Amino acid sequence: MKADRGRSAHRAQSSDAMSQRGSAPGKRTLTMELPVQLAAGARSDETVSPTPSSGSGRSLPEDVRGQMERSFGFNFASVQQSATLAGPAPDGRGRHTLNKVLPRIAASAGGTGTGQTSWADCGRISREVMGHTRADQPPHAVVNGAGGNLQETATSSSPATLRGNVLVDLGLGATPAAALVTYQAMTPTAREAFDQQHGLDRYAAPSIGEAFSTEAASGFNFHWGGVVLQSGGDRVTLENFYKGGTYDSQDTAWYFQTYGSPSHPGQTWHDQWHDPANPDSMTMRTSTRSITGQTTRPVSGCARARLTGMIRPTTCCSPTERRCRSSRPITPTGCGSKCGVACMPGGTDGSWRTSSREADILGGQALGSARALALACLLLRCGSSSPGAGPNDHASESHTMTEQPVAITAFGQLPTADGKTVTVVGPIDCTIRSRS
Amino acid sequence: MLDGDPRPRLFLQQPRPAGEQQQLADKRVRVTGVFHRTQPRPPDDPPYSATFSGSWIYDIIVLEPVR
Repeated sequence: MKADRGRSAHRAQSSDAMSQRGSAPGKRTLTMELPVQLAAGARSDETVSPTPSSGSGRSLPEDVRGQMERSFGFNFASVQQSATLAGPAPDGRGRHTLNKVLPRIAASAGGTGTGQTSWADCGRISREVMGHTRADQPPHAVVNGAGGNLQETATSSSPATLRGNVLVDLGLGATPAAALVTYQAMTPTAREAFDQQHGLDRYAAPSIGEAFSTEAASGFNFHWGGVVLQSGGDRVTLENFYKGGTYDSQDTAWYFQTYGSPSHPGQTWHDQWHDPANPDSMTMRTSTRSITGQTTRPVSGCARARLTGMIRPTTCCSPTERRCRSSRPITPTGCGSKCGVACMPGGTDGSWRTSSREADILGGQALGSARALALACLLLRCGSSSPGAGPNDHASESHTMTEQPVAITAFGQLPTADGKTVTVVGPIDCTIRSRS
Repeated sequence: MLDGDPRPRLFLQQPRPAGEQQQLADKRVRVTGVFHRTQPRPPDDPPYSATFSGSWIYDIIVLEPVR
């Protein structure tokens, strides 16, 4: 069964760490022993009051705790315990101290620590990792498009629908059924190359706060796993599995699992979960958040990104909102005050963000692995404009619009909100120009 | 052979009484019920809820040992 598979695999991958602590792996031990690497400079003896429903133990140092809580929209957090494990990092980057942690799951209906309940349905618990608490928000599938840029499908909570969206969007057919036939008709070599190019199956690589999704999984109709930690090519998921109850069932059998990179045969999520007897079985990267990007130089002027097409509209919010806070100062130049300082302007760090969800996590190391990518039409708003009517409210703004070229690393050709077309040539430093 | 599995797999409606489980454990049995190609979902569950793969027999009328 799934739990046994997960636990045995976790045991195998964690055996070294476990043995050094002398703890026997068991059902709950796998959760209890999850190590989190302390950030550089963090004090392991920091005394912080326990957070509610955290069980015993101390909160993680602010830099680590904040990073994780921002990453998961406060849906999931870890509370540091006293047990530690110190040793040389496998990648040769010096000596590190790992701390035992206990999770805190916001959607839990009861219990503390490892006795917390959480959704049994694998998709539902993964959507807690990906989205806001109890929102059960359907995700996009995220693939590498033809030009190497990230591409999002339409959203769905059905892995079968996402699979169809992926294959159609990648041009394999006009309908999901036809595209699947084309996909299955590929030779193993061609399919491997296709998967590698587009980030599917063994090459699906969700970032923290995203999820693996496999349609036609071993033992189940599908399986999901939300990624909560990442180190190099390894990913740790928070998972649970259906046991015969209802969609609203919660239990305490959730667990963490570690999966390896495609360079390690048998260790990827797809290796572990796809159904080898089912040629339809496919693994995807899924995400409820929009793709982030990085300008190659500070955006000149007060800019807000309005994203169209396959990418959701940008959510702007005021600097006084908690979620807009950034570890880096956002200092728009030029007309900043006239436009109102929203969370979207390109800052001195050249960053921009595509949604409040991204704003939650940008700047934290949690997204350090997320490549600078994407996207879209930047609608530069500057000059003779009045402040925006309010946070998260594009529609009520009455700006005089001035579109400007801006250097950005992005891709594609997308329509602007006012019916024009913005051409983005990437993936290297390029220029967006509006076309009238 | 069900669902392409290397071994036949068939799930029964859950849960079964503890006494019945003890009486029938490891014995050949005859089952009478309704065969479902996939596991029926609770009526209020969304279509994207998880289920076990494999076929199911629900509404079991008779479950008895084969003499």
